[in-house]
Amino acid sequence: MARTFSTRATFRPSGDSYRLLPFRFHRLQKESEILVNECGEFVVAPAGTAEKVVRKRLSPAEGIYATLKAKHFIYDDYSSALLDILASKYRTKFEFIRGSTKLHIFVVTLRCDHSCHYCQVSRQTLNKGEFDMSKDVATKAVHMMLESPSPHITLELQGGEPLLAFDTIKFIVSIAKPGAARLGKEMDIVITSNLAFLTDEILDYCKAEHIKLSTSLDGPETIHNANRPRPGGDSYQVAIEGIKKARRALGADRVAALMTTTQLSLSQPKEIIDEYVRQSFHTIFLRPISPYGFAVKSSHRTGYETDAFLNFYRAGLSHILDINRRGYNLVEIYTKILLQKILTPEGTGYVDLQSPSGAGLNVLVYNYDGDVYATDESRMLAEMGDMTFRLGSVMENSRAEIFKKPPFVSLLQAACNQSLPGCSDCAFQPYCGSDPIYHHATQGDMVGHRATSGFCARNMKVMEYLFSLLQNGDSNIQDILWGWVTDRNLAEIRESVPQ
Amino acid sequence: MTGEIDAVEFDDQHTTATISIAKRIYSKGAVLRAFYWLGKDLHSRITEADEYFRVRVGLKVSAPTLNQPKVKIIDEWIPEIFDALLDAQLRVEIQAETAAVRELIIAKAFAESGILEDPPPGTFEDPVGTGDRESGTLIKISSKPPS
Repeated sequence: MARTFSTRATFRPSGDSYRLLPFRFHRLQKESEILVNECGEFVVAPAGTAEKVVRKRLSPAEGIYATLKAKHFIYDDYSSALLDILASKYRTKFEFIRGSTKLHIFVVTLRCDHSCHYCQVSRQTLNKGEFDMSKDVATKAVHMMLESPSPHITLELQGGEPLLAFDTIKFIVSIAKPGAARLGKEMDIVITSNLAFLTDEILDYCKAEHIKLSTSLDGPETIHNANRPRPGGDSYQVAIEGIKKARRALGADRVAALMTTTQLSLSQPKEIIDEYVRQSFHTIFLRPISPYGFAVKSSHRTGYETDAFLNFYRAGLSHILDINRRGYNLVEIYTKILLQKILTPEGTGYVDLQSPSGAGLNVLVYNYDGDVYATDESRMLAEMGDMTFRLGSVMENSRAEIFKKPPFVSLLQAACNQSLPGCSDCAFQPYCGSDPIYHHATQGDMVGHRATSGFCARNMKVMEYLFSLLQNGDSNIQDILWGWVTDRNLAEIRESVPQ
Repeated sequence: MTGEIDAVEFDDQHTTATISIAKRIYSKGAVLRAFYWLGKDLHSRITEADEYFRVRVGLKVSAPTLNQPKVKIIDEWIPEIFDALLDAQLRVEIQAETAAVRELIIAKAFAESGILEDPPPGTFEDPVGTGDRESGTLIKISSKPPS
């Protein structure tokens, strides 16, 4: 018996038969727009595509129909919504929630020899020993840290200048390490220091205890010394000598540097980046200006700083891409974090771009006096008199109590950009965060007015820029960016792609 | 004297405009969302008449400043306002059609975490109710708990 087949037309869905799955869209330029589904998968399409899709004017004969179907923007009679797959992808994006607090910052002392203007609200002079963490506070803080369900925690010892309280550091490590081992937790330990008080004894100790060092490098000597004044005006020289010494003792991969962007930095992105290359660093983080310690409630000032930062970032990223093209592997961390969120199924450990916000959930700060804060910025606000994000005290509260008290509950209510006005239908929502602490600091409201938010303006513009690079950048740029996401340099990426 | 272009009226100095927005085309949610985002540059006052929303918009910064050396006049904002309205209306329509599916995705995503008091609605075999399209709902609520 001969088999008969229906014609192709029988199986072709009619134009109006498809249904929508949740997605958001954003106009990129005049000619294009981006459509982003609930899990962060995206399609860049000609302008007007979203309207066509929503109005059910998209024809199955159009090429983008199949793309939108495959990427879970629409489904029709011949496909399914595959909700379980979408749910699985969605869950993967939120993997960072699992285990709760991972980063535990101990402010072991407020004493510091530097008087950096972005930190001056909390810094104390060298001889004020009452601003060191006591053994009693340290013990209770370690216990609270170990109560975190996370199987892998990071203990970050900072100040002030933590090496001024080296005995406190040794005490904390001496109880934290066996405690973590007893509970089967892995623990990384990092000391964040200006390296001015680094000695051979300290380096021997760091080597023996597998402790990493993180320091500040704000750029070349002029910028670094202007940002980070200390008696003698030699902060840069001290930092560079410390970096070299630490690398010799611990290995290059155990010494990191972070820059803080200030007004002075904004006009000199190339000089700052070149300094990182000169010092043989392979990562640089073009971090946004922190509003803390500045006149934070001036919207005009914030707007100005946002534009200035965007110019700084674009010029800096362009220079970094050139450096990579020339064969030196230098990764810009802010871009890498965003690209990981855009191009991979993963979320991020970077608190500022987390939703729910990582403040408290993923990071806790234990101040020298036992007070517990949601982030280091929260502690800065407290030093300026705003105790909103003082979650409790290790001397009075258990970890469970801290998470049930009003300060944390209020924070959590504004922590999810999925439900914030303005964010809830923003196309960049899956890649972005909520940052209630920034909005409280700059707008006096944790939810914030997103239309005038410096946080939103900055992240939206940066993401528009990254999408333009992904769409229009030459293959070198795309290879470099993909290399950052996959932890490979340009040569390795080229080797992996058939020519 | 005021100028009038279709549904937009300008004041004499062209510092404010009053826009009539047909309710049969744009929902209240769309109007609120559109002017929320335009709030960076424009003041807006929204009132409601029988068949229209009337929105009086004005520039927040009407003269050049050091921070904002270039200022658009109100007339130049009109195309952007209508683009924003269209986008906001599309977002409202997407949400209306997909809200239930979105909730289901999120419920399913976190169902195994033990944080939900109730299991997510729908069944594994028919999570969006494709077998019951005539009912006009995307979600088929099953009386049986998912196996």
